Amino acid sequence: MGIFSAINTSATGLSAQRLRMDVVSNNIANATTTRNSNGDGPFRRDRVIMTPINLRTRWRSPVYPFGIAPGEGRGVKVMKIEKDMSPLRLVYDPTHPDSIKIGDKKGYVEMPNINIVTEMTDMITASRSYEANVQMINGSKAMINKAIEIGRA
Amino acid sequence: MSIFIQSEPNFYNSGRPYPLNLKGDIVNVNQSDSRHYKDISMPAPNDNIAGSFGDVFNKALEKVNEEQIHADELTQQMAIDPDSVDVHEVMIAAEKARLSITFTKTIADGVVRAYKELTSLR
Repeated sequence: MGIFSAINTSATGLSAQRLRMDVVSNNIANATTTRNSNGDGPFRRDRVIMTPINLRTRWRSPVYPFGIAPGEGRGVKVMKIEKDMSPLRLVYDPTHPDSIKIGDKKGYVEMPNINIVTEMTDMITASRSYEANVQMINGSKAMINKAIEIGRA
Repeated sequence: MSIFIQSEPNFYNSGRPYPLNLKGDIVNVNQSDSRHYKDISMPAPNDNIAGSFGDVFNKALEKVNEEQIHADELTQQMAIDPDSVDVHEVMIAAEKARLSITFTKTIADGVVRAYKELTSLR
């Protein structure tokens, strides 16, 4: 716990929200991509899975191993970027080169499972969370500045 | 790495392995809190013992200088290759450097003020 620990914690949040923004923009850019890089179907929506950082795990009692206190936490980190495997959107377009050639779905094209409205709300959430973290940094900065004023007569 | 205790055949176990056959990984306890061992008086590490106020102040100034250098490096990196660094990292480094130097300057001002008050004792 130092004077900058709150700022460092908020900085992890800022990085995580930046990454979320990147993922959302990638989703929107690929909203009509019908071939992924493996060539086995359309693009699927990415989403960010986050997990907390706890550096200072401490024991409440050395003889009671279930009493692990997680400490005050050190922020958030992105665990992985996961593919959303929800069902794909079907659009009827028989002239499309990626349309389904056989079966009862003949003539349909599998489009990515990306809803632009969902992505926009995600984008707004990410930018608001970023703003909240910036506010947090400004708050801790104001606190440190006040602490420095103690020394000034 | 795993440990496996194979006993020597002797009078007590007649060659059988120990009842507790230890297998598995050796895990170090890498996180511990010094407050669990409050009763034991540990000697303080040497680098926390400062000779004089001047030493303390010089050390603090070195750390503050490191912060400034770090902020400078990040700013230059931002100018050269903007994709390699986040904007908020640069701003946070600059703010940390500014706060550190303000804090150190406040301490130094206090010392100078105390010195002036002492020299004007008459």
